[in-house]
Order: sequence, then C-alpha cells, then structure tokens
Amino acid sequence: MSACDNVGPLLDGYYDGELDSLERTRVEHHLQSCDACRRDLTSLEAVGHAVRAAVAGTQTPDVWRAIASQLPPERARVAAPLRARAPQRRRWIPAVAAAAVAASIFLVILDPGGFLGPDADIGPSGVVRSIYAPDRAVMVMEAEKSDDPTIIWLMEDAPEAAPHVRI
Amino acid sequence: MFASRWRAAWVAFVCAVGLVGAQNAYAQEEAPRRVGLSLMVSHVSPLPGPIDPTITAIHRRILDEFHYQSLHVLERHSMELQLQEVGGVVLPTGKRVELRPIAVSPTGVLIAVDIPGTLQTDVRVPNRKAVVIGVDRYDDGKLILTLEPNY
Repeated sequence: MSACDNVGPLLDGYYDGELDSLERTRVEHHLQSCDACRRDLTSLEAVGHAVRAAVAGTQTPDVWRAIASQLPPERARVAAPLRARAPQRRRWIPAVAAAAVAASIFLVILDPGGFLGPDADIGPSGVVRSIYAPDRAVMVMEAEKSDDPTIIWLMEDAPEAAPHVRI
Repeated sequence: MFASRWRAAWVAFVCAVGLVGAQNAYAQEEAPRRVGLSLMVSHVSPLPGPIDPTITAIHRRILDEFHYQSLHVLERHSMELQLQEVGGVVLPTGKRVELRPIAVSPTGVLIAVDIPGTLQTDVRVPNRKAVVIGVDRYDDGKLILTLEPNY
C-alpha cells in the first residue's frame, strides 16, 4: 500500500480540522512531497468554497471584528472560538442535502404504498384501477368531462361490433 | 473523521423519513372512516319505452355507444361502510354485487366491486361522481349499476 493510499482517506478530515496532531503532522509531511494529494486537497477546498458560496449567496461582512472591537478584551477572547467554529457547520449541508435526497428515493422506491398511497394515479382520469372479467369482453369509457360518469360495460357481443353494440 | 458527517447525514435521513411518515399518518387520520355509497340498479332495453328522467345524465353518456330505446330504474340502495367493510346487494338476476371501500384520498374513494364469477374491478371514484357498470342480461335487455360515493 502506497503512502497516498494511507494518507488519501485522511485528507477530508485534514481539511475539516478533525485530525489529531499526529495524523495532521503525517498528512502535512506527505503533502510536501506528493503533488497528487495536494491536488486532491485543493479540490476539497474548491468544493468547500463553492458550497459555502452557494449557501451564503454573497460574502458576508466580517461582523465579528466590528463587534469584538466594542467588547472588553477578555470577553472578546472568550467569544472568538465560537465564531471560528461557525463556518465548519456549513460543511454539513452537502451531507444533509444528500441524506434528504436519499430519504426521498427510499420513500418512493422502497415504500411506494406508504408514500403515494394505495391508489396513485394511473391513466388520464384514473377511475378504473383494475378490472377482471373471466369470460366477457369489457369496454371502459373513462369520463371525458369531470361531470361525466365513467362507464364499464360487460359485452355480450364481440368487441368488433362497436360502436353500436347490442346491449 | 467521516463519522460526524455520516452521523449528521443519518440523523437527517431519519428525520426526513419520520416527517413524511408522520404526515402520512396525519393524512390517514384526517380521511373519513366511513363512506356512504349509493347503488342504483337500472334496466336498459331495446324495446320502445320511456327514459327515466332521473337518470338523464347516464342516458346522455351511453346514448351514442349502445343501442337501446328504454331506460328505467329498478332499485336504489344506499349503505354506509367502514373502510374494508363489505356491503352487498342481490341483483334482480339473483347474482350478488359486493362493494368494499378500500381507501379514501383527496382524489376519491377506492372501491372494490365484486360480482362473483362475472366481474372484479377496483375503481377510484371522486366524491359524488358516478361509475356506471353494465353487467348481465336481464329480461329483454341488460342491468346497469350506478355507483356513487358520498362521504
């Protein structure tokens, strides 16, 4: 197994700041000598920027700096780490969006009865859902207008006798 | 490293499924549990005779499709059934027609209609709209059933 194979899976965590110091050092050491992993890291950063830009729409002004300048120094130090964590939360948005899509697919494909109900539409008006007449030909005339009744007609003659069928 | 991201995805997935499930349960609770059904048994005949004025809408609908000269109502039945409850009527031919409302949705009530040995059909009928079923020969003509839910 190459060094890239070992370090590659850690890149995402490295980008997210989730690695411990030993792993972080190991990744940084590898990045110094590996163009491919540097490109992967650059791609991760590009995706992160794109997602944040899409979510935020436009760059927000650095409000914190303005607020911190108004606070006593000790309060500014306490609050600063909370601010630093805020951008990381936006990285969950792709995962949450993917989960929502997966849930929709799950509900539509695996649970069609529960999601769509047992009588989802079939056909133009969908009045006749199923029909079985063991030894008779059947003519079905779906309603053309909303006030028209739908007609199911068990034939006595062969269907070729239409349009004027003997009753 | 991926664990927290997957955990968030999993929580979102469970929440989405739960939300849709809860909405489904709520919708089912909102649906009426009893369905009123009216069943009219009529007779069409090729012999000259009157057209029953109470069913002119049906007459207009089938006039161009079938050859007949008289139409009159033989029986009118009404019943109120719970979902999945079977209601039955014995037709003048001696055959029994069984009706079973299966489910109610915003677009109508799904009803199973069973005339053993002759016809099995599931129809979804909007409230106060009719389905006409031409069934067996009777006397010199044919019996037709008109089914209409009211809930």
